[in-house]
Amino acid sequence: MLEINQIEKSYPKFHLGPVDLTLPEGYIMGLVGENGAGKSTLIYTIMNLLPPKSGEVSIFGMNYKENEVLIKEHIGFIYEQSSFYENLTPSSMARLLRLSYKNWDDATYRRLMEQFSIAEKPLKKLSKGQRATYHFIAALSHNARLLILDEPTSGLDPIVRRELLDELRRYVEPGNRSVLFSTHITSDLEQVADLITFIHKGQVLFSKDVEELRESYHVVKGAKEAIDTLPLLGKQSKRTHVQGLYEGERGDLADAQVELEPASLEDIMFFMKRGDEHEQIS
Amino acid sequence: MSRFLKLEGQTIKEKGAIKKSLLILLFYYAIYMGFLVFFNSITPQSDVFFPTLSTLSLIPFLTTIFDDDNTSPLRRLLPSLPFTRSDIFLGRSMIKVFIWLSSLVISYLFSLLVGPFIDSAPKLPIVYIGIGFSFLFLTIEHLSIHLKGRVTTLIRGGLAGGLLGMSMSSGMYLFQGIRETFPSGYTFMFASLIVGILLTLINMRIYQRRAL
Repeated sequence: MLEINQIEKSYPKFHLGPVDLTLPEGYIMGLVGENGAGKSTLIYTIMNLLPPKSGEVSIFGMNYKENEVLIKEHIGFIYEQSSFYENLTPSSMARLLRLSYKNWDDATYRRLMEQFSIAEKPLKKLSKGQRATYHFIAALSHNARLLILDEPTSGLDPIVRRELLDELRRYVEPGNRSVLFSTHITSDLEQVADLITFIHKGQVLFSKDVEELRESYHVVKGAKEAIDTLPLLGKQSKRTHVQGLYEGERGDLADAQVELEPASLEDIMFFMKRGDEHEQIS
Repeated sequence: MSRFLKLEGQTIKEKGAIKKSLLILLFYYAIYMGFLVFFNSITPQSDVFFPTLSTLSLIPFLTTIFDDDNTSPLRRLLPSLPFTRSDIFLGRSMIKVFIWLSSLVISYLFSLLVGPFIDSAPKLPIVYIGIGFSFLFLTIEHLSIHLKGRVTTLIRGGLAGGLLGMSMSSGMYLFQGIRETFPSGYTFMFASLIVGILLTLINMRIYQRRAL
């Protein structure tokens, strides 16, 4: 579906890559990382909005140089902030989108508009959540095979967020569609993502199956002496104990005098980002 | 390309921009005419009226039709839709050329209409100068596609105000100077078209390669 090979992009104070990434058909991939890690740069490069310094992006087995229109016909894309004409109403905007996409699906559009009760008034007068939802509806209404979403759920209330995440699940069910979305809300990813890609300072630290992540990362807690003997990816000193992130089998630590807990995505991001930094939190 | 042009046409229709821009055009005309009648200091107008009006007429059209708040569609929405950057640039350029030609016709007819009162009917060299000057202005304005939406709107507003101010003050000397340098007017128009087209080609090259 989506293949990224050795993509690099340079700015005076930031370098992305080289990034290699594969998103197969039927999967939802979550892209996580701190602010400025390179998530949007990577997404914009995938969308051909930023020309890469080197490397290749292949989507549906095609490249932008030869098939830009065909590729974009089958991509539903959402920017982090609204990109639609703010003075237009949803129905006016839909008329423009209908002219842009050959596969525009009025039935899906109407169903989603009803489901999410989007008001018929200028987009700039809609709430932030309704506007974000409208972008979501537009992206889902032209039979795209790949959705690329840059922070699509930020600003949405939990109920709407969950409904949209359910829509994403339904969207990939046929097995020939995929989703790539970046977010700061790691709980969203834990609900729907099959694959997680973590970017830190322009580098992909890992791109793994969610189950594999759950099995291979653990938060260990214990006395400083016990923790210091372990090869941890990051540590954090608390008042009563020290904790850190361990990569490996649970059984490896059977003899260690430590407690083990499953690592959440947020734990993994936190410890990997902080590395071996020891932060005292009182 | 035809799909992009249809989209641009529909966008103008959905925004209801034509009616608004014609109203603003009348407002500019009223201010300019009011100034000329009130001061009655620059007659005959035949050397100045058409070049000023044809350039001034572009502003309300460009400002209203392509006013996009802060959404910068050429940098955000349109490149994310199934169009190539060439489609987007050439399509938008063609629409602007159409607007330019329309504003030339409107200005020419208006110059003839008020000709009996302020001697504004242009002779052929002045028509050429008007065509050349407004085309240069159009291609310079077209560079604003690289800027953010609100900055572009501010720049267009500044250009309109500046142009109006210039036409009321030193515009006469500018156009008379051009006429003295290029008596036939044709050379000026030809040179302006060449410079404008070159500028647009450079503009297109930048748009096709830049980060959006």
